[in-house]
Amino acid sequence: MEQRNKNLFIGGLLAIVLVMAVGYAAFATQLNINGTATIESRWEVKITDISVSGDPTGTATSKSSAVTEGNLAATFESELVAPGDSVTYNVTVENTGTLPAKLNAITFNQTNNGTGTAEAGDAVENQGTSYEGDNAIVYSYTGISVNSTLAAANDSDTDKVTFQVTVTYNDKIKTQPDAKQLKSNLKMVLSYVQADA
Amino acid sequence: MEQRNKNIIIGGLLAVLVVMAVGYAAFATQLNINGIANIESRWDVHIQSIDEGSPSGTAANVKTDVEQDRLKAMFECTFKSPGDSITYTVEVKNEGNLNAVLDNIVFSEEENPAITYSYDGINISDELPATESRQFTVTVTYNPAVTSQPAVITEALTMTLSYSQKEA
Repeated sequence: MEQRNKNLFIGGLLAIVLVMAVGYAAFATQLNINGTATIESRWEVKITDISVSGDPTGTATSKSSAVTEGNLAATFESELVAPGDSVTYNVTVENTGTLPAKLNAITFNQTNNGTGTAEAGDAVENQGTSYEGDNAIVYSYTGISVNSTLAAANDSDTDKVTFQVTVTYNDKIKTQPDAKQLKSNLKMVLSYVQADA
Repeated sequence: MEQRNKNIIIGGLLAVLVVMAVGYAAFATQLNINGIANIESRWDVHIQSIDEGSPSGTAANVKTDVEQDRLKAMFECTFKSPGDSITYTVEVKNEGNLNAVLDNIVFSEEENPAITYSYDGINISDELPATESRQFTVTVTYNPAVTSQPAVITEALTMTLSYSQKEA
C-alpha cells in the first residue's frame, strides 16, 4: 500500500510538472521601443572682459579689475581722492552659445559701508542710470539696456556688447564725508534669458 | 522403453512448439492509427509602425524606424530650448488569430533630469484581440525647468511591452 501511495504521489507530481511546462510555453512576445534624445543647443552668456576705459578722472586710480567665477562675475576696485574723481570701466558681455539671448533685467545696488543699502532703483530701460542723493560715492552705467539682445555666437560682433560702469566721487560733496561713506560697494546684476526665436 | 520415452518427450515438445508458433501466428493483427495534426493558430504580435513625431517648440525628429523583425522600433530626436518636446505614435498590431494581453510594461528609469520621457494610451492588462491594433504615444521633453546648460545632453529610452496569449 505504501508503494502504491508513493506511485500515486509521483504520478501526481509528474502531471503537475507537465501542466506547468505546457502553461509556460504559451505564446509570448516582447516588443521594444528604443529612443535617444539629444540637446544640440548650448546656452552660454558670460563676461569676457573688464578694463579701465581711458584715463581715470582727476586723482582717481584703479587698483584692480578682473573677470571671476567662471566668467559669470567681474570685480573692480578703485580709489577716489577728491570730489569729481572718477574711474570708468569697460565691461564686455558675450554670447558664446548657440541660442540668442535677451537682457531681461538689470539690478544696480549700491551699499555704503555701515549705512545700509542705497538702492539705485529697480531694473530700468534707460541707459545712464545713476544714483546721487547724499552719497559721497556714486555709481552709474551706460551702454546697455533691458530688452537688448545678443545674437548667438558669430563673427559679426552682434553676439557681444561692451558697456561702461563709472564710479565717481560725488562733486556735490563739500565737506569730508562721514566715515561710513568712505567705502561703497556696487552690485550690478544682468539677467539674461533665452530670446524668442 | 527409454528410447520411447525420449521420443514421447521430443514429440511433446515439438507439439508444444507447434502450438506456440501457431498460437503466436494466430490472432495477430496490426492496428494502425494514422493521424495528421495541423496548427491552425497563428501568433503574431508586432510593432506595425512608428510615426515621425509631432514636435513642439524647436524640437526635431531625426529618424524613426521599425526593424525588419517588427519586434523593435527606434527614434532619435533633438532639442534646442527647455520646453521643447516631441510625441511619437506607435502602433502595435495582432496579426495572428490568438488574442493577446499586455502583461507588463517596463519603462527605463530617467538618469538625466534635463530630458524626460512619458507614455500614454497603453496600460498593463490591455487586451489586443486577434486582427486588431492599438496605438499609444511616447513623449520626450526638454525639461522646461532647466535654466542653465545641462552637463549631460543625451538620454536614452528603452520601453518593453510584454504580450502573451490571452487565456481562453
